[in-house]
Amino acid sequence: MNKRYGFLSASGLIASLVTLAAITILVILNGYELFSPGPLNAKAGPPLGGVTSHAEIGGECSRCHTTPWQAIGMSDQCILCHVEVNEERMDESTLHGAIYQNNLEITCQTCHLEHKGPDSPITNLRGIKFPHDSYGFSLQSHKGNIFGVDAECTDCHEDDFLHVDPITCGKCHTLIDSKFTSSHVLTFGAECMDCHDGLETYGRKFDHQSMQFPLEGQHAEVDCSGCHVLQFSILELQTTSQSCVACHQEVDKHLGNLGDNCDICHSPEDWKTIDFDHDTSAFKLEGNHAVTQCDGCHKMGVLKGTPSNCIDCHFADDKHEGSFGSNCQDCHTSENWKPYRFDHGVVNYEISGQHMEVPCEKCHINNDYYSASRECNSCHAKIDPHLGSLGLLCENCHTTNGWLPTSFVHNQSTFKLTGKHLSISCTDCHISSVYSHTRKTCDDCHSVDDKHKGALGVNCDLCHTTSSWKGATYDHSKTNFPLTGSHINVACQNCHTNGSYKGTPYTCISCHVSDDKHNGSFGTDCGTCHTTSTWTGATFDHSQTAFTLTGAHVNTTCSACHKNGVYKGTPTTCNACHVSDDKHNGSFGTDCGTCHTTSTWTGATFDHNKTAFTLTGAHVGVNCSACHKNGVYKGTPTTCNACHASDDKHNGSFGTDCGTCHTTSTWTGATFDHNNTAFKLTGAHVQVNCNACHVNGVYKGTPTTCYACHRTDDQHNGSFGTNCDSCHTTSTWSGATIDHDQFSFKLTGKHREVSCSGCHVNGVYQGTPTECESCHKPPIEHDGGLSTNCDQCHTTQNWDAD
Amino acid sequence: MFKNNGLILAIFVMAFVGGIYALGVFLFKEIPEASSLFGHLLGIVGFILMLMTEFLYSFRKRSKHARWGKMSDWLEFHIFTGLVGPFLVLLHSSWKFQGLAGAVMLMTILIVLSGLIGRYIYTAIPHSADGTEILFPSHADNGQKNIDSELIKINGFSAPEGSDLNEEQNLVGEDPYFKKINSIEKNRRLLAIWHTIHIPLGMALFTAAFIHIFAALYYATFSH
Repeated sequence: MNKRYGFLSASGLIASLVTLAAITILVILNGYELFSPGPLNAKAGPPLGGVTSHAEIGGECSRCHTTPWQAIGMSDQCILCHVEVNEERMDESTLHGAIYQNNLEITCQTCHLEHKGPDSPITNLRGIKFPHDSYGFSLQSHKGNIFGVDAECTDCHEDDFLHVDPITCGKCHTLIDSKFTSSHVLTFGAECMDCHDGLETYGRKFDHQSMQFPLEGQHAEVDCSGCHVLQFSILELQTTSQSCVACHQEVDKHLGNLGDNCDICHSPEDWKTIDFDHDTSAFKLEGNHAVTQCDGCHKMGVLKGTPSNCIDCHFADDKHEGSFGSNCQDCHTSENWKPYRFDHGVVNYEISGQHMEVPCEKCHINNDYYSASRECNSCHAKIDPHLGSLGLLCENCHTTNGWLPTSFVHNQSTFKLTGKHLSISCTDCHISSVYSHTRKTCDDCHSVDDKHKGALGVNCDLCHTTSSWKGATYDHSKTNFPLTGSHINVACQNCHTNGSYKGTPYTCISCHVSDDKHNGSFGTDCGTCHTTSTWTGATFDHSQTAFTLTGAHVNTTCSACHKNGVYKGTPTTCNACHVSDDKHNGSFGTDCGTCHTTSTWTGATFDHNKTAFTLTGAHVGVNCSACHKNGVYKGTPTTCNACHASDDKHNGSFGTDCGTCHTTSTWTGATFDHNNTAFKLTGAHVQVNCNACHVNGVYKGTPTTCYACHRTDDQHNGSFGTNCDSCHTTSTWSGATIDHDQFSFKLTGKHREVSCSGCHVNGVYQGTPTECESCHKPPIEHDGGLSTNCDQCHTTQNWDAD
Repeated sequence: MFKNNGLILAIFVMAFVGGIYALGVFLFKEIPEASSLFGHLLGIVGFILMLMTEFLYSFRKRSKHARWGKMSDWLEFHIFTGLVGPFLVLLHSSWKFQGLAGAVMLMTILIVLSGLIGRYIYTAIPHSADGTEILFPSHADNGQKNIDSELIKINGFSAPEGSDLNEEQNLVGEDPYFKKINSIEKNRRLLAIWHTIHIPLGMALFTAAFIHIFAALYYATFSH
């Protein structure tokens, strides 16, 4: 048996080929519809791409399907016909734009399913992110439909995804609650989207209590249209008037007299339940007023403008018959007529103490409440034990709590009680109960206690206190003799003898005459040198004298200068003490201070500037004795040669005043102001050494003529005289100038430009011929016919003949 | 060892897959599309099983070298894949029988039915325990006495003692033994005829299936 594989058998292969051929024939005849998984949608629409439905292009698979290796996809094929969709994709405000922008990977076939049959919906948005909320209607409350399954787009959008027919809403909601739905539509109209936004803001989740007008009381039971009459849109509903009269004007029993805000008094619970806060009015209800019925005061329904004075209602209750005015509340309360109270403070007469227990009429005689006197004695005159001597102001001592104890604040008077005065009875001072104008000086009471017998005056308090006579203190600083030092501890009587205090002398000597070791020579004011602490260590301010102590004088003992205790009149001149120290033997006078200081004899300084010979230059450092020989200072000669005769290299020829040329700093570098002489140095003369002219050191009498020095320089051999400066300057020999006009041959024209030697040959100036031909040989043309005086025809400017 | 196990196992698997399918339909409220992930999975797995049905059993039966396992086991495997595969493909079709895909589905159903018929015919032919066909001598073949008494017992009858096989009259229409032999021969011929239908049908099926797969890949899977 041939064990060929069945699939390779002839029949098998033939079957395969036949199948392949059949499929091919079918494809050729019917197109590629053979491969279609289902019929295309046949719903007609606007013509696009030459067809009105996909079914019309059945079999033309390439109209939609692209080959896998093509760069374009099926979506690209879609938009070849659905051009508007391509434009919408870029616009997020459109349906396709919103979908595309929120689902970037999406393609047409993600939502649009085909090959599901001719009537099958071509769109399925399940799983697609579509921002439904941004289109004005949230799907938050429509996630499931009434069948309990997830809501499909087509549940609401039957034919149009961009709009929803409100009738569609009703289809479901009528099934949910037909009664409510129908009444709701009647109430609010059929345009569901006017109020409903999917978030149920104004739907199921609408809470009127969250609105500006919460529904309370009977308002909550009223149907919406009861207040929102013929108002359907949200805007209309929101703008419904909230004032009471907008709905209740017809039932206003007050006929508008109490305004439009019924809620001030009434509540939504009930008209009759009035809840008016009287405190908001000008008349607060208190006491019996609070329990009085409204009409007890508000007659004939009049509420506003009702009088609020007491007397307006209580005229009949006024037992005072109007004598107290109309403000009953001044004395009475709204609780009851009694007990009445009157704030006496308003009339500046506070009732206190026992006065509070006194009936009003006790003070207000004959019902006189207005003019009753406030004076104490108007009531208490009869019981005044002072018989009026203390005046009418009982309250100064007494209180309303009782006559006793009295309480007089003595410190309010001009005599303040202190010390033992506090414990004595009033009558101890106020004799015969006389309190007014009682004497206040000490001796008025204590004259018998005065051990000083009046010698210290009547003001005991200057020394004594009210606590005790002993331990008197006297502030001596108030006197002309303040106690200091040892005086403080001295007993009073040591100075104030015989008990005499006043007029006691306070000069030192009056007590210390026996202590005066100076025997009065220093006067009676010991304090000049001594202190009250001790006699020793006296100090004397010498600067207050004519001889201020300085230097070594400061530490010198007084007796070293003030011999034999003589201080006054002691001489102040130096030699009075230092005559033995005078090494100058008095030659400098007696005022050592001219050179010396009080610190030491050495290092004397003398201000030579005060003399006729000021020290300068090298003189400053010269020892005094170098000039002042043998200690002779005064009268020492001040001329130079008095010291420097040996230094005079001029051998006196310049005189004795070396300073004319030399300075005190050094001999060298002498300068001589030649301008002070008859021969001022100019030009080259300035730089010339002195001895170039002043030969052999002879300066005075040196000749000043040019020739005296420049004979050998004279190129003119004396023909021009000896005054070289007629032509030459001291700067240089060359460039000599001469005023030719002084000569008979004046230079004009080009003669001025000619050098001297041009005419004056061989240095001969004087006697030089002045004829023209002496310099200017006439040309051949002038031979034998013209004068030798060229200037007859020619000028010195040029040879051109005139 | 696996006698009828293929059928039983196939029924079990189909029930299991069917249950999952039904659960999915219940949960998602829709029949899985052929182009969906689940649908594609059904189609791919089902077709692979169908390919295994077509080729592996035939390969094992006719290969001289790949003699792995017993034929009976392979037959059970063939039956298993031949039932489960088409079942999965049926689920993959999402109950739509349009176009070439519908024709492929129809051919799949036909070949399954054919397979059932063939299985019925097959069982009428004695086979050894390992599935090998037992060859009985025909009434014209007097020289062969290749009778396995045990197999005869298996087939339900035994030759009477003393039977003379050479007696022609006993071999023609009267002797139950030879009636049985004739019946087996008829069945064998019937099976052969069945093969001439079943195999071409299968080849036509797979040709159309491959074209369908190619078209699906072209128009759907690789489309962008």
